[in-house]
Amino acid sequence: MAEELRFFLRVALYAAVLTVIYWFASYNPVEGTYDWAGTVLLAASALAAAAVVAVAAAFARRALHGRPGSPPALLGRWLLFADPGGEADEQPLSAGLQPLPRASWWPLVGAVAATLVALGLIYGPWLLLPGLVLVAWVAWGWVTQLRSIR
Amino acid sequence: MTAMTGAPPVEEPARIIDYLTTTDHKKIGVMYLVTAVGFLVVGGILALIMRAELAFPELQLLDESTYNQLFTMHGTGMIFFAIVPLGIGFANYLLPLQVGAPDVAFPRLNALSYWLYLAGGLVAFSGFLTASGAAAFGWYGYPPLSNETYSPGAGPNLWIMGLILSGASGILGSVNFIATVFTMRAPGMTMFRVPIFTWNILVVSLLILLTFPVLTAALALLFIDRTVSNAFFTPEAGSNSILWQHLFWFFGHPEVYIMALPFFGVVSEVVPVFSGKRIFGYRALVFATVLIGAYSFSVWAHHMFTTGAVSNLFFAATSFLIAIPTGVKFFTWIATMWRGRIRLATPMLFVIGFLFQFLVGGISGVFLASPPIDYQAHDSYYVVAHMHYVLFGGSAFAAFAAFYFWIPKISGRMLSEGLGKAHFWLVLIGFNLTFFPMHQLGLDGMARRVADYPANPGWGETNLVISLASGLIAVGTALFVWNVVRSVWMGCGAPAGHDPWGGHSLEWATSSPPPHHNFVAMPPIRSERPAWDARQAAAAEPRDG
Repeated sequence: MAEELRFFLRVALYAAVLTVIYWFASYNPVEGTYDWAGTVLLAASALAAAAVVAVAAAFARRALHGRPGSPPALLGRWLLFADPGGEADEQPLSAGLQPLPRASWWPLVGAVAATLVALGLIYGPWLLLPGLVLVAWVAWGWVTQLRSIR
Repeated sequence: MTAMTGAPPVEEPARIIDYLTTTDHKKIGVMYLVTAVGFLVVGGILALIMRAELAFPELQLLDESTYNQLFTMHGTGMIFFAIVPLGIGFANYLLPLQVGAPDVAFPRLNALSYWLYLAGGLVAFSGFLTASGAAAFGWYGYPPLSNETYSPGAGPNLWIMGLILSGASGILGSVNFIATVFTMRAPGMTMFRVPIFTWNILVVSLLILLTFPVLTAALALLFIDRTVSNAFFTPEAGSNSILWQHLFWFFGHPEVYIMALPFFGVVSEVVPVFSGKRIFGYRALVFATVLIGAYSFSVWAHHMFTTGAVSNLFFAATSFLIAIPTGVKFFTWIATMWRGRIRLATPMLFVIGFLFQFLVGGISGVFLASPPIDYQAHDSYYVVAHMHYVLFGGSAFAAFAAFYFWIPKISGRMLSEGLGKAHFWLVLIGFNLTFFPMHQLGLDGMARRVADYPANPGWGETNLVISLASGLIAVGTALFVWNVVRSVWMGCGAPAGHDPWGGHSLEWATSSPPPHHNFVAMPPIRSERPAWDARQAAAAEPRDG
């Protein structure tokens, strides 16, 4: 399993364990209640990290073809950091250097669009609508520029 | 083989349009750093105005409302738009270099992160231009004080939108850093050869990824509360203001480590170079970083002890626990310096200042993690002293170390050592005279966030000393800005060469400044200090003739 997936898997497991511990620790014997705000926040963190693992594992076929081994050994490799000598297991998922853009106006225009939307929510549709139109234009330009780079 | 092989291509000087459209991580890093220093200066000016008011009891210069705006925007500016972006700026410049990548994984997203950060800062501070003024409820915006009833006008809404924009910037930036570390490392750069600074940025990125969305959601709910209906945080309307505190501090305490960890990374890079030794306990430092990040998720409600609505026992225990990995870091830094050939150049001076001052901030933090002491010191100047020893005495000092250490790499010019040392001593003396007496003021009961204070015996004199000493910090910081302008912009600094300090990590194996895609040639990576290895290999080669 690639390092990035192990990283997020560890985070998910840690947050899940912490959620359970916190839920027990937050019990208020006077009122007979638990603190659900903190418990839900921690559980959401576990789910968010697990979602990254699930999505990445689904899309990255290489991640599904890790080194064979017994289930305990695999679990050990996933939870511990990789052996620095085992460089074969340490190669990142990237399939090589992709073309890198040198310049683009879209990030600056995108930030202007987001700012117009934010200000439009405060001051009204006369800023919000142009902001939304600009957001759509930036999205189109961003994607089409990506195609031209590739 | 030498570390630096091949001449980098000569590049044209950058024009303004190059910066507006750039996707190069190095230019974006520089833009982050310049903007963050700008907000640091603005935040500092707001602090000086506050200190002028506090120099004497009673009101002299400001009214309460203006004072409230000043401390709110001082905290907001320093935390969201100065200290965090300083770390992100250094990460932008250095992280791809340290892992041997030509850029970050998503260069255009990186540029968008910067522009959203700048826009967020301008929007938040634009509240000063509105009729009702800027936000005036403290940087953590507790409801019901921050709702429409008690904080009317556009200023608070601009504050909310500014933070949402900068939060989006942080999330996009952290995605970029994580993807870069995981997918763009050079051949041979295993996870346990990644420099400590980059490890710290990796952990910080994860903290941002898990906590900034919580803040963004909370701010959106607050905005709805203010503009549509009091549905979420207003007790009079049947909702719950404690919920805001949970949401805010679930972000807010990891945020402390988001502000600290990058600078722990800086210290871990500077100490071995200026001690002439390998870093002691590389793996211990990595695990300590990961543990600090992990524990930071379990301590958020130690800011809420006095609400009586949280488990004080749980949060006190976890808050004490986080001192252990922090202590591990201190021991590794001290052990690295032990019997080393220490060079007291300006970066090392700032790091030594960091070590003492962060220790004071850390120890006062352990005291505050004890609920009985927190009940006594809560909302007093003791907390102000603690926070500034962590964020100024710690993070800002390490940031100055980082500037003196890496500006030669960024610009190809050395900063003046004389001006640097004058900067260090002025800020060291000014900082400690400003913030150390605040511990006593807090224990004596002086409340924070008030423009006026009673003329109790000793308070007036102590506050006058504090206000005068804060001027020393301003003079020292002005010297730093002048040093950069003189050495870099005016070109008076001596040429740096590609490795002026004898650096250890990969950025010292390329030219200063590096070429567009960072490396013309790369040394073999067989340890966590490839530049040092390459120098040793070059020294071992037999000389011709």
